[in-house]
This record gives sequence, C-alpha cells and structure tokens, in this order.
Amino acid sequence: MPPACCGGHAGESHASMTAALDVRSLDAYFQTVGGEVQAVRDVSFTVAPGEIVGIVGESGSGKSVTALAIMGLLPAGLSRVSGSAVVGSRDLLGLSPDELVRARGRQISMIFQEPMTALDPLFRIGDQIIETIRANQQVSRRAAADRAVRILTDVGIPDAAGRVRAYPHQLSGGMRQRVMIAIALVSEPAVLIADEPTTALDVTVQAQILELLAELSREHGTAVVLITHDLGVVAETCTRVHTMYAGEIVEECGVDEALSEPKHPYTSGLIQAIPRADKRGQPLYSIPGRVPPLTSMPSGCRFEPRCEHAREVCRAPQPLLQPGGRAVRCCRYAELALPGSFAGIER
Amino acid sequence: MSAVADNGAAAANSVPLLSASELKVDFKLPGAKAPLRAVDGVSFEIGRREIFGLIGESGSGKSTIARAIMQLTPVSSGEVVLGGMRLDRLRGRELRRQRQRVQMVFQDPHDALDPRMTVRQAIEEPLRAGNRGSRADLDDRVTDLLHRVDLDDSYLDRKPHTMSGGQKQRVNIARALALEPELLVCDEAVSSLDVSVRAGIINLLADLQRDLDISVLFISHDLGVVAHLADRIGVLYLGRLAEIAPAGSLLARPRHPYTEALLAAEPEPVPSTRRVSRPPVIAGEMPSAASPPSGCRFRTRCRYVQELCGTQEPPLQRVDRDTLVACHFADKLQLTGRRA
Amino acid sequence: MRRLLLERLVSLVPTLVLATLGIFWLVHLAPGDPAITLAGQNATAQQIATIRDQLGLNQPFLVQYWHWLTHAVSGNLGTSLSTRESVASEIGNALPATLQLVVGALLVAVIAGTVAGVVSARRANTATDAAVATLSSAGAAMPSFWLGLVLVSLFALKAHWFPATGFVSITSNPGQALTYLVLPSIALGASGAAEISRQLRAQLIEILASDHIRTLRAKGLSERRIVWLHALKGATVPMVTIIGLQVRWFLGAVVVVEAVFGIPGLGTLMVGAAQNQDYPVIEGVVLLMAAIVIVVNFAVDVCYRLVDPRIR
Repeated sequence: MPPACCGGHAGESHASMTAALDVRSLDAYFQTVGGEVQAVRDVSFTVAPGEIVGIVGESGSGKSVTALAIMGLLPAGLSRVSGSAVVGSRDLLGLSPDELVRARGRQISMIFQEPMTALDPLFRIGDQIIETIRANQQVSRRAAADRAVRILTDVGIPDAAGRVRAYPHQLSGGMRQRVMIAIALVSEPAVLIADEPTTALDVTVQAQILELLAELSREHGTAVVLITHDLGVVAETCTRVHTMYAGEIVEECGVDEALSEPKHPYTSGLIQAIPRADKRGQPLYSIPGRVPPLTSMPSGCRFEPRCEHAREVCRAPQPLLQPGGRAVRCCRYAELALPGSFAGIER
Repeated sequence: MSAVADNGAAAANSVPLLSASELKVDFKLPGAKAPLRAVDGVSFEIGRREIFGLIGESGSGKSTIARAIMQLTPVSSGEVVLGGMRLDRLRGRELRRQRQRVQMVFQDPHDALDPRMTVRQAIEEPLRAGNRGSRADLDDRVTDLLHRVDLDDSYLDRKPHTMSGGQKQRVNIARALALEPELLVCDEAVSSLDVSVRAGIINLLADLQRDLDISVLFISHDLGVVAHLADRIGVLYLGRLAEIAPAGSLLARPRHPYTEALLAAEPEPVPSTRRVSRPPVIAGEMPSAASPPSGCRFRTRCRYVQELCGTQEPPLQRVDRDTLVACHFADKLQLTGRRA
Repeated sequence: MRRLLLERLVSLVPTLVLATLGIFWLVHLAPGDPAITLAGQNATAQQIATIRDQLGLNQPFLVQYWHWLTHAVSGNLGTSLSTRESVASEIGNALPATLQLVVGALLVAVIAGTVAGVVSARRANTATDAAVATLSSAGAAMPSFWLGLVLVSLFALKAHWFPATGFVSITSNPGQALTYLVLPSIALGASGAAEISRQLRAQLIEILASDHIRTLRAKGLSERRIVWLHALKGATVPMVTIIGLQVRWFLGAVVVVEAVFGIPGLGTLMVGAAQNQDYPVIEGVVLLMAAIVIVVNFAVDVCYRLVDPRIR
C-alpha cells in the first residue's frame, strides 16, 4: 500500500524549490445566516514558471472560490481564508491590505469569465491599460501609453494604435477578453489565474484565446492556473490537472494520465459524460445525484453518495493519497480500473 | 437564387416533416436605414423520426431560425412547411392549432418556469389550454409525462426553486411533450447545464426521440453535443448554410472550410498521444450581419480563399448523395476531419 | 448632441404654454379680486369696476390669457398689478438672490450627500453606516422652514456667527454675501443631501459588487481610486437624475426658506403676487421656472452623454 498522505502534495519536493505559485492547505469559509460554512478544504497545488496547470470541476466544486481566495477577492466581512499561497517568497494570504493591492497585477493577476461585464464600460480600453501600468509601476503617462499600444498588438488586436481609444462596448467578446489578458499581463506578473476565460466565447474564438494564453505564457514564463469545466480545454492547454469536487481536490496528475487512466471515480465520470462524435448512438454515463450542499457535507468521502464503487470503508474521512507522482483522494483507487477517454469506443 | 433542395431527409423517410425554404428574417434596427438580415435564404428539411442538428456560433442566426420556425418571429420571406401545411401563412386560431405540432425547449431552464407554479401545474397548463379530457385523465397524463423524463411522483408538487438545473430542464421537456408534438425544437437546451447533468439530458432526448417517434431540431454551438445526438447536421455561418451532411461524414470528411475550422477549434478531451494533427486555428471573428462580406461570406477567414470567392456567392449545392455544400471549390478541397 | 438640443428646444414651447395656461387658470379660480385689493379699503363699487375695466379683468379668461401670451412672446411680460413696475424688472431684481440660494443649496446637497453616500457605502452595515443613515432620515424629515428657524436661532441669534436675515449679492460683496448664504443654503439643501446620500449609497453598494469592479481590484488598484474614480463615475448617470430632481424641488421649497431668512428672491415675489392675485407677475415667474426646469433637464441629458459612451 502506498504511504498515507504526508500533508504535502504530489511533486512537492522538486516543484516547491522553483514554484511560481505554491498553495498549501487553503481553506475558505463563508458566513451565512446559519453560521459558518466551509467552501474549500485543504487545497494544495504548485505551478512552475511557464507551466499551465488546470483546475477542473463543475459548479459547486469550489474552483472559483479557490481562485478568489488566493487573490484576496472574497467579500471582506463575510469570508475567512486560512492556509498559504506563496508567490515569489511572499505569502499572499498573510499580506496587509495595502501590500495585497500592490501584489495584485504586479505579482499575480486574474482574468474572469464574462468579458462582457468585466471591463469598466465608462473608460476607454487604452486608459484602462494605462491605469493598470501606472498602478503597478513608476512610469510616465507617455511611456505607459506606448506600452499599452504594444501589448494590445501582442494580444492580437488589429490596429492597436487606433483601438486604444475604443470603449469596451464597441468590441466583440473575443476582443474584450484579449483586452482583459492585456491588462492582466501588462505588468508581467509571475502568476496568472484564468477563471473560465473562454466559457462565454464561441469555439473558434476560444481556440484563438487559448492559443494566445499558451504563447504568452511561453514567452514571458508566466505560470498559469486555468480553471474550467471543460476537459477538452484542459487536454489541449494544460500539462497537469487537478480535479475538484465539493470543495476538495480529488485528483491531481498529468493531463494525459488523467484522461487515459483516471484514478478517481469522479474524474472518470466526468470523462464518460462528455458527448463525442465517436460515441454516437451510445448512452453517455451520467453521474447520478447532486453535489451535497455546503451545510451538510458527508464526513467521509464527499463523492461517496454518488459513487458506483462506494463501500463501507468510504464512509471514513479520505486523505489525499500520493502514489508516485500523482495524488488521489480515494481509498479504493488501487482496486479500481476506471474507464478513461477511450472506454467503449471502437478504434 | 434558389438552392438545390435538401432532400437528404426525403431520401430517408419519404415526405419530410418540416421544410424550410429560402427563409429570410430581417430585423429593423433603431436608427439604421437598412434592416439587419439575420437569416439570409436558409433551406433545409427535417424528416420524420430524425434528429437534425443546427450548429453555429453567435451571430450565425441559429436562434432566429428556431424562432422563425416556431412563428415566434415573423418570417420576412420564404416558407416554413410543416407536414404539408404552410406555417408562415397561418394566423389566429388556425396557427394556434398547428402550433402544438412544434414545441420548444429553451436554454435557461430556470427562466422557462413560472416560479409560483408547481411541476404538476406547469406540465398541466398546455393540456388544460387544449381542453384535453377530465381531471383524472389530466392527472394520468401529467404523471405519465413526468415518468417519461425520469422524474418520480414526488416532483409533482415541488416548485422550481427546490430543483436543480437538470431537473428543471426535464420538467420543461415534459411540458413540451404534453401536446404530443411532431417536432421538438431544442435551442441550446443543454448549454447552461453542468457536464454530468448535460449527459443525462442528452440521453433523455435520444431515448425520447426513439420511443415517441418524434423529430428533433437540435440547435447548439457545441459541436460535441450535436455530433453525438444528430443524424444530420447543418452548419450555419452568418445567416447562411455552409454545409448539410449526415453527422458521421460531416465529422470525418467536412466539405466546407468553415466546418473544417469548427472541427479544428473544438478541443478534444483525449491524451496528446491520441490526438490527430489539425489545421491551424482560424483567425479573425465573424463579421457583423449588418455588413456581410461580398460573395462568399466566409471568405475573410478562409484559408483557401480565391478571387472568385469575393465576386460570386456560392449556392448550396449537392456534392454527394447526402451532402450539400456552399463552396465554389467543394470538389477540389481535401479537408481535415475528426477520427478519419 | 445637436439633435438633442433641438428636441429639447422644441419641447420648450408646449411645456411653457401648458405651465402658464395651467397657472393662469388656477389663479383665476382662486377667490379674491385683484381690483378690490388695488382699489383699497374704502373704494366704491364704481371705482372697483373702473379698475377692473382698465386691467381687462372683465374679459373672458382665455382672452386674458391670449393677451398675455402674445405679449410675452414679444418680450413684454406686462406690468405688475400691485407695484406698477415692469414684471421683467421685478423678476430681474429677484432672480439673483434665488439663483445664488439654489446654487448654494445644491453645493451643500451634492458635497455633503456625496461624502456621506461614499462613506456609508464603503462601511455598509457598520455603526458608521447606521449613524449616517439616522442623520439622513432626520435631515429628510425636517421641514426646511423648521430647520431654517433652528439654524437662525442657534447660529445667528445665539452664536452670532452668521447674520439672521437679509441678503447681499455675490456680485456686490462676495465675502459678506457668503455669510448671508450659509445658513439658508443649509436649510434648503439638507434634505437634498439626505436624499443624495441615501441614493448614492444604494448605487455604490450595487456597483462595488459588480464584475468590472472585481477586475479593477484584481488589477491592483487601490480601493480609494476604485471608489472615487470608477464607482462614482458609474453612479453618475442615476445620480445626475436625482440631482436634477433636487433642483426642481428646490425651486418650490425656496419660497419657504426665503420667507424665513428674509431673502428678497423669486419666492418672496411669488408669494406676494399670489396674495394679490397679481397675474402678470405670477405668470412671469412661472414662465421663468418652467424654463429653468427645461434647462435642467437638458443639462441632465447632456451629462448622461458625456459620462456614458454607450448612450451616445
């Protein structure tokens, strides 16, 4: 039997030396009328410079809350975060509000899902980029203006010099998302968190944006955390993937391994649920049941009520196990042979 | 200009159930002189017991087509024929009577339900409007429909806010089936659902189509979903059809450059070792429908563009027994598909 | 923008006609007879009748109105029935005082209201917020004249910081003028400040929870810049509407405040004219007020377009 969880995470020994982002035991809690509930539990992961890591999960998985917690963007009086998130040897979660403001944009940036509403509609996009530059670095307005035009070109906006004077509502969704990326990367942060950046975009535009992100990450050595519900996006953009369910990380490994040999029933279930041309005529696997509400999480395995492989032993609290190079929160993983992307398909 | 008739459906099942011919839908824009032509001469057929998928990105006009077929949006020109009857010519009582032959399921399961009505009341409503029998008959029918969408009796007295997205969408489907329509139009019916929930609804739709012998017009921007469900697929670009083909051949061997681009852009959830090489990602964005490019609308983004493409608009033409394509060079191009 | 200006100018005419016609009719309906007032205590019926004839008061109401209208259009607003001065000059004398008072009240309302609104939005649901809310309710509930009286007795009569009554125009003596304006401006503007504070708080709370503000935080902007530049600009469109409404409200409440503080403005003029049924003066003031309201509406519309690029 592989050793039980030792409180760290897969790949810790080498990655933490050079990790651009090192998250350890992140917990996030919300105040509700009924008291405090925990939305995210014991999340740990690292991202190396230039690496694109995926966090995949459905609604209620806690993936967005994790991102907001790292950035310190959860509603102030109503939430509580513990654990650590280290960027460039500083723990973001331990910073004072002023230090956090300085770190945002400069050391770590975030882009969001809805490009339609993410930009301030009353200011020109050029001014919004200039504002970002000058908030994070000491440059003259002139220099900032030149930088703004250059970065707009870098993100693929045609006629950048003319477009700086445009307002957000004059741009398409894809263009707006490019502006968002420009704003996020213009101060060259070490880490970029992208929360469902392409979910609201058309598929051809999505492909362009993902390609852009990958290219920029390569060029600037930016570590990217890509949050999505789409395993296809993960497959084509990320090197490693973490699957989240009900506020916990349930699996972590390389993308190819996750897709061909998932070790957690939820990951496998997600893969089976994806409709594909080569599965025409076959019923898709649909995970029964729903995510348990935050107020009544099972004390044992959180996926157990919906899992077809559940046994008595699953009712006990499940630590994150780490069999060589990957991590999985399932006590039965070694006994199960879970279907991956190619189960049931004729070759 | 007239397009060659799409009788792929005809080939399969004699008389098509639904036939749209040269559909055009214009919208008057405030402050603009020329109307916006959202749909510009679309023709296709849906056979009985067939699932027809309509794929397009935003701005392609797919939702407008759905609404035009349902007569929720006035058709500016062209015909919509349902089982021999011209829907777009009907008015008043006659229209209402024919309406029940086509029912629609919308994208947002939440908005489609009255928050103050229970599930029973929601499903019952169309039946009561049509005066379909006694109280007991009604109850039986409602329970029957509920079971058909895999919900048990305990849902009858529940209200929408106690249900998940997937459950609400099942109720919407049950309600749409209440009047025993011949055609079910699903407009992005699974797009706002989680992946695992989506799978359940897709399975349900496939089962229903088989068991109830209905036809389905399935509209979506998600290639994977449409490819899984549909028998034949139409690809829309900027208000016109680029290609109509059976699902299998559309994916394995697309005949229109836009279809190739869509297939190339769609991310595949398979390990890198199993991924086939694909053409580079397409550049640019869909132009505005208010000022479409001259000639072939796709020419501004097409890898294979030639001079002819700018001067002449390619008609939708039969290139194969089951395939229609709107491209001047359909016969010459060798395009890359998926799972060749 | 030009089209907007044209539209507004065109709407000026029917608005003015309706306003003046309406007021003319209401005054006409009111009991009392200006001729009697003019003639004095011991006038005979004969004298009264003569005066009525002279003033044209025996003619049908619409004819009287038409006379007034045709004269007004050519710039002649007539003469006051009570003082025999030209209406235009009476208004001209009274206008500066009212204008300065309204501007003063507007400054009080906007500045105090904005600060209070921002502070309570940033510290929503805390003790500070509750304190501001209480003060606002008090300010809104207090009638202007009562507040005026309180201010006069406290700060003028007791403390001697400001004069109690009277008025000096800014144009003649700025320093002194300001001392005369402080208390009346507060009396008039207090409830406006309360309303602005309340509305602004609600707008800001909503804006501060929106997606684009979250992006601004993620960019690394200071909260101060986010609130004072971005959020406040976002609130401008709805707030400008509120402020426009406040100005219209001021034009009405100014009557009372002028009375309390003895300021010889339009309000005082109007009250006197109403008591004497001095039609020409009443009509003249109404005309002016209607014109001011239209100008304010226009300014509000221009503001929308300046602030929000999506509206143009």
